[in-house]
Amino acid sequence: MARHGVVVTGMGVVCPLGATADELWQGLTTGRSGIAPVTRFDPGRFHSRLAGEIDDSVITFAPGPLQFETPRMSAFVRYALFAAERALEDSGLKPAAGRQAGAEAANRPCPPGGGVYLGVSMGGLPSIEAGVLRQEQQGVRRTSPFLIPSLIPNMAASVIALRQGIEGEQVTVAGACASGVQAMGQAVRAIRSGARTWAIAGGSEAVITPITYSGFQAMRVLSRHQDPETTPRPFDRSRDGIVVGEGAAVFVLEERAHAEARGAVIHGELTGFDANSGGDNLTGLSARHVTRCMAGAVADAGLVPDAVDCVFAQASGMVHGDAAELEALRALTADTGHRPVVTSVKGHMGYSFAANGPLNLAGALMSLRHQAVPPTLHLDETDPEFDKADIAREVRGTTLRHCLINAFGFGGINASLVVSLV
Amino acid sequence: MQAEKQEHKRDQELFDKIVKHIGEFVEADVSHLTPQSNIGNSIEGMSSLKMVELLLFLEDCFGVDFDESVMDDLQTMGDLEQYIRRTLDASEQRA
Repeated sequence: MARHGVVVTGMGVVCPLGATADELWQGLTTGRSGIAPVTRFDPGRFHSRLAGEIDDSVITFAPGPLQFETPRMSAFVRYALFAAERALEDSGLKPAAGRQAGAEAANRPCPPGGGVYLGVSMGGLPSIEAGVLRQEQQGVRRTSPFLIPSLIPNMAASVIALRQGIEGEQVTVAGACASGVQAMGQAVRAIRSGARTWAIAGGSEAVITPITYSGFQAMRVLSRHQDPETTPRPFDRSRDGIVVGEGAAVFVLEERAHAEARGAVIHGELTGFDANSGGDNLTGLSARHVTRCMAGAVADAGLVPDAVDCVFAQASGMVHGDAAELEALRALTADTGHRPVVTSVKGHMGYSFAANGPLNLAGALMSLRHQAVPPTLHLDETDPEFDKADIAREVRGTTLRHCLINAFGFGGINASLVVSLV
Repeated sequence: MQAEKQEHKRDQELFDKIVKHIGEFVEADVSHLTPQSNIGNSIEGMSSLKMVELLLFLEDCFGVDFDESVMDDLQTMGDLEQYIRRTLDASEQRA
């Protein structure tokens, strides 16, 4: 039986570069950095004192269900909900807030046949840390009854489903930094199979809190550069680690015929997905397994590796990780020597864990629209080891039909998506 | 008689203050509340979690600690007002 096509009809983004896909694109292509000194806590005791923070003043919600609870949710829930509501508006599946009957129209339930698929890696870590401190300083009885609901990883998908009246399944994937792409893959499979007509899918993360810095510092993965204009620097010979970022990118995915029948604007088609297991010990990337993953996604799209025009890489600025990913890509195209353009958005925004892959997808969809690849920021001197790769250092206007999106997580979790021009 | 009047005025002021704080907490007009109003049913969108959070909020507003075992027995606004009154009085006596 022929599988259903899956298209993207709505995009919602909130990240250190802004709160719309257009702001994301403008920031990417103008080489703007969203990295700045940490403001959420005093980072003086850590090697890294930088972060890619979201401007919380833009995170607002129209009146509606869970209006009281939403501000009490951990940031990853609020960012996911914000992005999901923008994606729904963009898709035209529901009227936008403020138009027609205003909040009343916005609060109408979504059409049937939908589900929610969200990737979250660390969930409400800031809420856990604040909860522990409050308990120790003020006593057990001062713990908020909203503490647990605010921090459990499923709550991003749950609040979206409950507030929007989506009555199909809600799925949360906890697959470290691959979570967002894994969740999107589950949504793709659900729509392909006919189980769902449409879905809200993406990833969200917001863990700029001392325990995050403490834990990653212990792992020696934080960049020690202190100038936000120079770090993180994926693929650069002086790259030295990640800068913590936060963000959410959430999409409306739709069965292609359903979208076409209602005349929806189609941003792109998710043609391929694959995920696998295999890493170098507990946390390292394995080039062999990453090659397998990318090859699986390309084959799932019915393509050959030479058809991939551009790769939105995981490339976080880690010494080993960036090298392993490019080695994997070299192996993927070794037979023909094809060199897709490679880019990384981490220099602009930092590393936002479960949101990495979905933010990559947002960048790729905008690339398909504009037929241009954004530059890899802070890439001053490419690591000589990467001289065979075609890494975008400036905005590259080129013909784009298929983009590959990568996201890899601790525990040997690898996930890749192919998004194609419609 | 005078003392009774004064006490009534004092209770009314406390009740009004509680209503005001509840309005701040739920970000809505709750001026319809009377001493007979059931706290759980008379405030739109009230839930068991919100109720616990509300009592924590009122503790902060009045600078007192409520007894957890009594908190579960508070049904009406009147119960709440009387309980806060007793807690405030006990607190004043201790001071």
